[in-house]
Amino acid sequence: MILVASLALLVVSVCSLAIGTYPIGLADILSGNLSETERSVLLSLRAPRLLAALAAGACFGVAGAAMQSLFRNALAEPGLLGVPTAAALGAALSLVFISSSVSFSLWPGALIGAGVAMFALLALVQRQHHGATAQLLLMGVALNAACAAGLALVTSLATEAQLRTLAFWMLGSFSNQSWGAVIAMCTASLLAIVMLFRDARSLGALALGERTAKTLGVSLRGLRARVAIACAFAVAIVTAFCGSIAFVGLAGPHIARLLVGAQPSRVLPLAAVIGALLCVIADVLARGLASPAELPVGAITSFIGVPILVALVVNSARLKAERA
Amino acid sequence: MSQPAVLNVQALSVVRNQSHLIDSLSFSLRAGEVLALLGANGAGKSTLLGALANEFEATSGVIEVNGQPLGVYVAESLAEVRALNAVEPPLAFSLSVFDFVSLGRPFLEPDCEGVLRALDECHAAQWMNRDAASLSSGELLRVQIARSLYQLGDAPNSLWLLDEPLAHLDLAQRDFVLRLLRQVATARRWAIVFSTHEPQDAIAIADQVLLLRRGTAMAFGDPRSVLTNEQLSECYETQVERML
Repeated sequence: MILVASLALLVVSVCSLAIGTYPIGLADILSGNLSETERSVLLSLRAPRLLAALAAGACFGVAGAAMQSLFRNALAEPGLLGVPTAAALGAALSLVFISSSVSFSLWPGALIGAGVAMFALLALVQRQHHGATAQLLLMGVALNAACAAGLALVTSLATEAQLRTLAFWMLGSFSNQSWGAVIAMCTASLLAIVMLFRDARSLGALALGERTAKTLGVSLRGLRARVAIACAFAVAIVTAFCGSIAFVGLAGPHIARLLVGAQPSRVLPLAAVIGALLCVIADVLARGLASPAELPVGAITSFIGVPILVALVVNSARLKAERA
Repeated sequence: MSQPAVLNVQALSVVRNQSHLIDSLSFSLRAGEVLALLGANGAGKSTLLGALANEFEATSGVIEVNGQPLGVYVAESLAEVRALNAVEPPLAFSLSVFDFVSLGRPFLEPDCEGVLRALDECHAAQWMNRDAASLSSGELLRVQIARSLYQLGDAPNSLWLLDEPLAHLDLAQRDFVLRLLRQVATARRWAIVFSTHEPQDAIAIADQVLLLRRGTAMAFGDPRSVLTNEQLSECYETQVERML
């Protein structure tokens, strides 16, 4: 299954390099027979964009899968810990109060906001003791609410132009990524993926409940801290550059689970691949549907993710009814 | 038989919020022995099992498994010689019975033969591909027991703790589980501790009974001498009349 999904990802990725306002032949890309313009479009526009979508999708997919296992809850997703909202608050603050220039204030502000949220969570994780997963969840919800409130205050002070910039960033986009940003995102995603894969087996034992997992030899405190750090770190970096990419972190793991069952050692890799697949498809649609205009990618991932989630909920409700 | 004790408890106390949940308890259990824990609700049965499982640190006293204090064990190596069956929350995501049992050793590649053997011992192999969330409570208990058998493997001198394994079981299932516990203890040389509310369970399979009352040992010894009408009446603070 993972092989099929990876193959699909590869095909979609190569196609995404060819599709756009300036079409490039697939055969030309594969054979490397490109004109000067084509080469520059590929290297400076399409390739960074593709890599950003891959990194963001993989990161959100794997983080969502890990957090659903950690919280033993099908509704958990990377945004649950409040990191994307904190990033938005940071971006809004720096945009309104420091500099209106998009490239200078947006991503550093978002990174700082997400970083502060991450360290707040980390401090909490280190202080907590027995049965604290629910506490971590509640703190995430509280952080989310606080940042959303702050965001509302700041946007009420923003100018029209600032509001517009902020709104577009918050809807998410993979376009106009510098190679530096792309490298940062890929590194962060890879790090998170490696960290979370190493804990896949512990997350598996957690399916049996925290108490049983502990008696099977899982150290819960360490596990909670590692998963929270890995998810928050990668999500912070991706959100800072791409804005919030909705629903990939929720839909990716669920689709993976439908395909290979609930064992995290199988779900985590597949969730990464499917998350990446969703993001690349959404990105192609974002620039293809209303070309030459561009649609916000965050909205498109939601459009793909919402029907899947609804189908899933209806389906699981039906299964439960059948069981009873 | 004089062999070293698998489980050795010395002056164990658990104090929380100034109330003594377990008060200076001492006993030991050898390989192949089954210990039944009896006592009223809140007498400390689950607390004692939790302390024996190393779920929390006892306030004072010593718990040794195979001669080593619990605190010396790394969590992973303790999991190789000690299993606990207690009430588990419902599964959040569906999991096949095979995967469920293979989680008994979460850090190793699933050993198909071992999982099947454990399921077979519990007469549960026919559910292998079923969704564990769809099992009835009696079926689920058998699968959980299979998971513990797989977790501990064939190693002798293991300690198996079960918190009210027989609650919610019908007569036939009860009988099956009791016989399985007895047979595992004898055949694999494990020490087994289980809690129950039914004195008859203890009489059926236990070598020792620990009668708990408000965290202290009211009586410890062989079932027939401990479980008298007088002792049970005092332990449960109600008139007990039963035929032995």
